[in-house]
Amino acid sequence: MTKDDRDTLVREIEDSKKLIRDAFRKFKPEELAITWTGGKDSTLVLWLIRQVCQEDGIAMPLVFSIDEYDTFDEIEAFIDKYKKEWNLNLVICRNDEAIKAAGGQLGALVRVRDLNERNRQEVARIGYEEGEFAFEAESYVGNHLMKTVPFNLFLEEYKIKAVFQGLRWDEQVARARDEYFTYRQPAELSPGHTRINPILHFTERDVWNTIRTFNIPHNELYAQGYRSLGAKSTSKRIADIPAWEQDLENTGERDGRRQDKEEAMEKLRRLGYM
Amino acid sequence: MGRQPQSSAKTKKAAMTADGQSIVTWGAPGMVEFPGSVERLPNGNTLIGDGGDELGFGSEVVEVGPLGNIVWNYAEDLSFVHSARLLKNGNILITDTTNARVIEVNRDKQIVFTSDDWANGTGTLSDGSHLSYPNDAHELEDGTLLICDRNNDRCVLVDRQGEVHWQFSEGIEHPHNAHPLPNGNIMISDSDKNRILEITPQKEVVWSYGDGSKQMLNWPRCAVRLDNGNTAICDSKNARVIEVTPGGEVVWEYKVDYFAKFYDIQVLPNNNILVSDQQHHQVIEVDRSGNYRWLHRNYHMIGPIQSKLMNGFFKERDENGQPRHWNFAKRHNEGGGRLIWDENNKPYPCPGLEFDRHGFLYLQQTIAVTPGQRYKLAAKIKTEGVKGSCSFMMCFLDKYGGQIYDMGDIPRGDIYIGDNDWTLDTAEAVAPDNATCVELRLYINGAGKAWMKEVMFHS
Repeated sequence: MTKDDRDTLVREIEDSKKLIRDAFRKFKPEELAITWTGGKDSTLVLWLIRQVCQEDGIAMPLVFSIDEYDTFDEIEAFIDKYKKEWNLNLVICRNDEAIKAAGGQLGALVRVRDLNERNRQEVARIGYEEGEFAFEAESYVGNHLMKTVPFNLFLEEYKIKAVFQGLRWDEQVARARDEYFTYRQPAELSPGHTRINPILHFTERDVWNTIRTFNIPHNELYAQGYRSLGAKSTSKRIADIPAWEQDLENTGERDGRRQDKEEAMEKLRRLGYM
Repeated sequence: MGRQPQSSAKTKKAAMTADGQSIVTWGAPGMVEFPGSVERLPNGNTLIGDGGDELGFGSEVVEVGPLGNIVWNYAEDLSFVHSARLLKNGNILITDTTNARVIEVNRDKQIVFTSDDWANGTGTLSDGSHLSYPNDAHELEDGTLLICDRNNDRCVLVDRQGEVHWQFSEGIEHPHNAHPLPNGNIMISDSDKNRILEITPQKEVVWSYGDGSKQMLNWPRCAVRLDNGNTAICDSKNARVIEVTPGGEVVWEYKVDYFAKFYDIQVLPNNNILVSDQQHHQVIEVDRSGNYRWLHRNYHMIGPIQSKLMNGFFKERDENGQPRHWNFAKRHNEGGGRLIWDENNKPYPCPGLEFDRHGFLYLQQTIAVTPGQRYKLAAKIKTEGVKGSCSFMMCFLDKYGGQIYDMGDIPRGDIYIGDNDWTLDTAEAVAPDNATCVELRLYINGAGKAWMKEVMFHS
């Protein structure tokens, strides 16, 4: 890394810390919570918040992690280790009722009527019309129950007004550009809350440069070639070399077939009569 | 062998509300859904060439009085009319676009000329071609017809027997509004190339405006020469009308803050501008200060607008064999395509679209939304042989039924090309501040087939 690169990185980090400090001004400590998936982006955000809290003498907000029941052992171990080392107040959010209805089996068929009332309401709210669904990562209903519902329940139970996340602009399609502070209006079964994304301006490479320059903890799976860590059954390793050594700018973090689709999009834009 | 015109006005369809009540039919005579050409007549009335609604109903020619009264209309067997121009003899020259024909109709609503009669009823021109998406037609002094033949990327001068006297196709793409100028030249809106051309009968370009950049002109579809030598241009996708000098300087602009897609203009003797506004389904006359001086809008949205997604799992079909509460939009089908069903899908059959050409089709449902609220759309999509593209869109509309985003910017899920087995597709978007409803659309353009199932939409 050149000196200019390092200066830019330091500036980006300072910008993120400014946003974090803005958040602490806008919200009381007990109204805030930090999303932590164990992935590189949310771990970086957690680390930055920790820096600010140490520098400013603020207590660390609540940290929460959504257990979708399809996690890598390595991620669980990573979360467990740094929860202890960093003395974090961590809440694991999990839809135990849905897991029970699936008999704890990934891929099992769950009958909607076997779910508890809250889960049945959630299934009805999204408009799912069948009597059963497969308890797996590719199922929209399953996803909703295992991801969105525990999140909403967490916000309700702990009366959280704002959550920190690790989204970046370079991983989103152009039209879906988030702001640093985005308010989400309340909806049925979903409390209103603000999402704070302090590392939006970081690129994938910036994240790795920061992690390696400042020795920020990261999961060993990245060293094995994983670029993006989500559900175990859908995360693919696309190379055998560590993530930070891969051609980040030209290969997809999430989607290998992005090129075809970009071309189709461009064609659509050019066709005047549309 | 005659061509059977695709009818829009004859086959009406009743809409059903969520509680099963049948409501007003679509394509109501005299209702302007998608105004194309506009012309203020010597008698003070306004002639409008109306393309009809998205489902393919209601295309007609309407003459409207100053107070909005329907004085005359013609609606027989028309499909996506783009222009209706008054002839010297009092008849109307119509481009019946999707039916690929030009007809002349008298005030008794009789067809006195049709291009379908050319070459023994084949509609073929003397050079062996056939009109393809004709969108404008003007009669010259000698009675020949200058036709803007969009999908053939040309304008062509033919006589009433189909004999080609002249044509111009050098480098123009999807042209609009080719018409003769008093000086003997021809003005053409070279729409897809974002420029206006004035050419001589010898095909020499003697004037042009637009460097191809969208900033200068974005999909211009009409240009008229003014008495002062300037040119007024309908800059469709920049939501404005401009007046430019021969030197290319913009000296006047009428710009609106919504995605108007103005189509045709006429500069009136009082210097006001008559404009067709496709997105807000209205014809307006504005003065040079940008104030409305006349407005004709008698549109009601093809409804109903649902409070939540209905029949997303396609368990019900209506009496026409279409998925209940979903609408098959075929205005832009250029004569092809159809709704299909995968009857083997379990547990219920699911619908899809089959298409084979330029243009596009969609299957849609309109749902009320709250501005500022975030919405999520999920569906499973399967495609076969898609050569253009297929996607599931959230097309937000404002309170006048106008699309808020241009096609390239509409929030959508993934883009599908080629063959794809059933894939879960999701999309998320925040309803803009001026949105009142959203049209969920399974969309396909170009050849191929696409099916959808298990559609869910929620906040």
